Amino acid sequence: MRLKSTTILTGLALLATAASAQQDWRPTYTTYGTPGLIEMPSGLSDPSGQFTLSYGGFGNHQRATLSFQISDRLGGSFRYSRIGENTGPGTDPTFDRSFDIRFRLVDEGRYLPAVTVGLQDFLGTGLYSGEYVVATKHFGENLRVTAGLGWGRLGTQNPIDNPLAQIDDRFETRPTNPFGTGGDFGQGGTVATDVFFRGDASLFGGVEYRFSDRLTGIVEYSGDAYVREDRLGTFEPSSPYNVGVVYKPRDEYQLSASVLQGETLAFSAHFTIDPTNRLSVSGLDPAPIPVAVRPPDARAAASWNRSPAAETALRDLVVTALETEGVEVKAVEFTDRSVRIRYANTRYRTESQPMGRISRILTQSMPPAIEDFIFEPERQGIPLSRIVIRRSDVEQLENEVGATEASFARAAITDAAGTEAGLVRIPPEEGALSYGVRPYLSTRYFDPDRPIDIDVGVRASVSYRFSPNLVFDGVAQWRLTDAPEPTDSSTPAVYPVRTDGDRYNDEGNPYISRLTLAHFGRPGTDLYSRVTVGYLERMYAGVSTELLWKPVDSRLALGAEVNYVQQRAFDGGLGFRDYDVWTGHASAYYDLGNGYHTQLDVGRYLAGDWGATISLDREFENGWRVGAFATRTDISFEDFGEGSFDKGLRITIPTDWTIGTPTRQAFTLDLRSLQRDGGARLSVQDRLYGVVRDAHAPELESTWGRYWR
Amino acid sequence: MRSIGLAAACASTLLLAGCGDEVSESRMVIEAVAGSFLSIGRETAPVQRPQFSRAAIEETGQDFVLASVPQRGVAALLQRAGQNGPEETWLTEDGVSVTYERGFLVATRGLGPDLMAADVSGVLAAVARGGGDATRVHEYLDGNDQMVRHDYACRVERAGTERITIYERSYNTEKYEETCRRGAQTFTNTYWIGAGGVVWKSRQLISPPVGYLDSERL
Repeated sequence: MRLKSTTILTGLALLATAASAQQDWRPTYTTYGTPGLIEMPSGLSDPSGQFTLSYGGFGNHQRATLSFQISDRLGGSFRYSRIGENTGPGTDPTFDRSFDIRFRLVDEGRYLPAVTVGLQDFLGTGLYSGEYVVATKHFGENLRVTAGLGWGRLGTQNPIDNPLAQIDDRFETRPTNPFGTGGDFGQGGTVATDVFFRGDASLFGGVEYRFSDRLTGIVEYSGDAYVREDRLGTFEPSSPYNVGVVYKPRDEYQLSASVLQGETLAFSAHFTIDPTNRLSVSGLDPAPIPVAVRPPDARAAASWNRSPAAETALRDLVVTALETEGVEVKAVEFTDRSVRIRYANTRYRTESQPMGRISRILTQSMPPAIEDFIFEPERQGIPLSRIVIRRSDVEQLENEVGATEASFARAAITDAAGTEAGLVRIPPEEGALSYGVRPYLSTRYFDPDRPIDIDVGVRASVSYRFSPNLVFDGVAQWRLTDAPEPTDSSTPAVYPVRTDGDRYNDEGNPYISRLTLAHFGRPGTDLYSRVTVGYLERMYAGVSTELLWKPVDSRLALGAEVNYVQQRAFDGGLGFRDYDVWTGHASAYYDLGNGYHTQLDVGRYLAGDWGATISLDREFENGWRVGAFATRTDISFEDFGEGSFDKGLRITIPTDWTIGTPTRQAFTLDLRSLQRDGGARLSVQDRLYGVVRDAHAPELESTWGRYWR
Repeated sequence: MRSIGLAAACASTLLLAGCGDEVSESRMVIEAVAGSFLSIGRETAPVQRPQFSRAAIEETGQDFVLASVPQRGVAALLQRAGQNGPEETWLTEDGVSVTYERGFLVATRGLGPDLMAADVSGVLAAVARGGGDATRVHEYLDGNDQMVRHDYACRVERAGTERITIYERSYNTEKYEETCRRGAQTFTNTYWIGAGGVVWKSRQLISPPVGYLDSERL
């Protein structure tokens, strides 16, 4: 458990730091949603971990951008733009996705400016592609100056010869693309290393002056002459200068207005979110019941009245008492000096917090002889770990400074495989059958031809638990909104394993989304298994098997998944189509520390293509996650089609962060590139790593502060 | 504005209404979100001191603490719920707890930016000496679920004697002021201590966002 010297507690931060001009004047943002001036980037970065949501632009260029400061120096942006009159006056608009990445090379010092190098639109179709090196320096409290050198789109204003050509002749010319921004990216999606920093360059820069905490004025000399738009006749710049004002009603909001290129008005709005700044701070969870302390002589008792009647009464008490904390008791074992509880936490995001709550309840209700509280959190009927907490430690550490570290250090965490003996099972109160009918709403964002697709309908689900770890699940859905018109975007070289997706929406309604029998197991120490049989997802049915190796205290996990599936009929019933495939992966998961997690999957994908997926996530201890993944298989860029290879971003916002009260729900936003047929994976419920890790030592340690909350 | 908000909340509740046992959680989330939107802009009224007589307190035969958070405009009667050595935990009906060590605040729960734990041993010793320097440690759980520790340098001073009245009963007390500093942050806790070291009344910091806790032993 690490103690942070910096504080995020609202109010304290402002009071505690003697703020210097550089620290309290945060970056302003461009119409591209990046730290910068009006359209040009600056050398400044956002604080690590910050999200910035932006909407900006003018007339034909509307840009919605999500930026994330991945680490202290590394920042990235995802942008969805609407470019009107894309091929000339009066022509149709196009929707374009682009990615930026930037790295701060030099920190601002007394003499040195902050220097950042960046790539704009380096993965997309190339409409906004450009590279830059830019420096920003503060002078006094209220003035900062930015100067930079741009290439590509940022190198079109009074271009000069590329200074890099002094080093190597190849920098002299930039391969051209149809957009005139340099770079022939074909289907988009490839990293166009052969164009970066090539061709003519432009100087750009500007001055920001802060009139007050809320109002800043900016004058900018732009490196972007809108050459392509000028040529098409859709935008005719008349000046290289942009002038604007920035209004900041609060720290989290920024509104900008500017005159661009002497021709048009541009507006932008920006909203920043710091995931570590939770509005409810520690949360609005009601107070736990206090610890009850045993009298010293009672502690020494070697046993208690363990008649069957007494044990039954005590067991019932445990079940009812823990229910008040949303904990479903699955099984209990008493010994002379210990109580062991196997349970499922249904209320709290972390596994640490219910353990703290249960500990307190047990101090109130267990006979004094019981000294060891043994916790076995369970998911899908299998125990995930075994945590032994001494009652004396709970009594001693309540309300003490340093209790978080001390109590975690004294908790013994081991594997819980093969510990069934002695447990008395508690039959589920609501019975083995559960069912529900409810509306659903699902959304899909940023398709090339429409920004948002909303699907609303009714979902019926039924589930039957044959035993704790053998579950039947059925889900049927009835879509009420119109399905999007199916489009054939497949390429001839690859079987349409996913691009057929819209035909399922079009031809099958209502439909069976899932009909499965799933078995979870603990075949041995550190091992977890899953077998799922049936209609696994909308498009495929078959068998999915998985084995995971994950020691409780390990940062590393290894997994293997083997599936045999047959494509389902379009009508959403029980029929099949004539396509089957063996697919599966070997996976490695690693917790890199400091909140960074990585995963590598190598194997065979749905279309029978072989390849690998790499993903990197930054996970906050409070449950926020942001990550990116990319898949390359033996399908060529051409055969893959638009996007060239599969990739995407994902963001998870835990609901308890938003509302303050405990819940295990979370909102996940997936921003993937166009779903195509290469690098496609089977969608199976409850893959093991996500099921298992919350109750293991690394996750418990990073959230152990909640044990005492 | 308010009616639009209400209509939206009702619409979304209807949208998510359904039947079966899988529904309750999403409804809970919707209600909580709707509730938090509706409470934005609601003004905090000044703390209303509950009106009752000493006889009414004595009739219950129980101990109470009357506690209020002036910055939030809330007051509540707390009942003793636990004892751990010299630490006593008191609980409100709506799930807020406050823990004192010999009358000195060491923890709160259920307020959001809670005081998770405090080491007040130095301050207790300084009061016993009749004043002097002391260190004080607070622990807070931040928005990223990490424990942050704040060490304060404090000075305890006797500020004379005062006769205070709590619901018709009067006590002769010595008033102590404890001024603490950590960087640019300062706060002052005040204690009215009667015979036998009983803290009859106090104003003590919970956390900067919540502000002070006013307590009176009834």
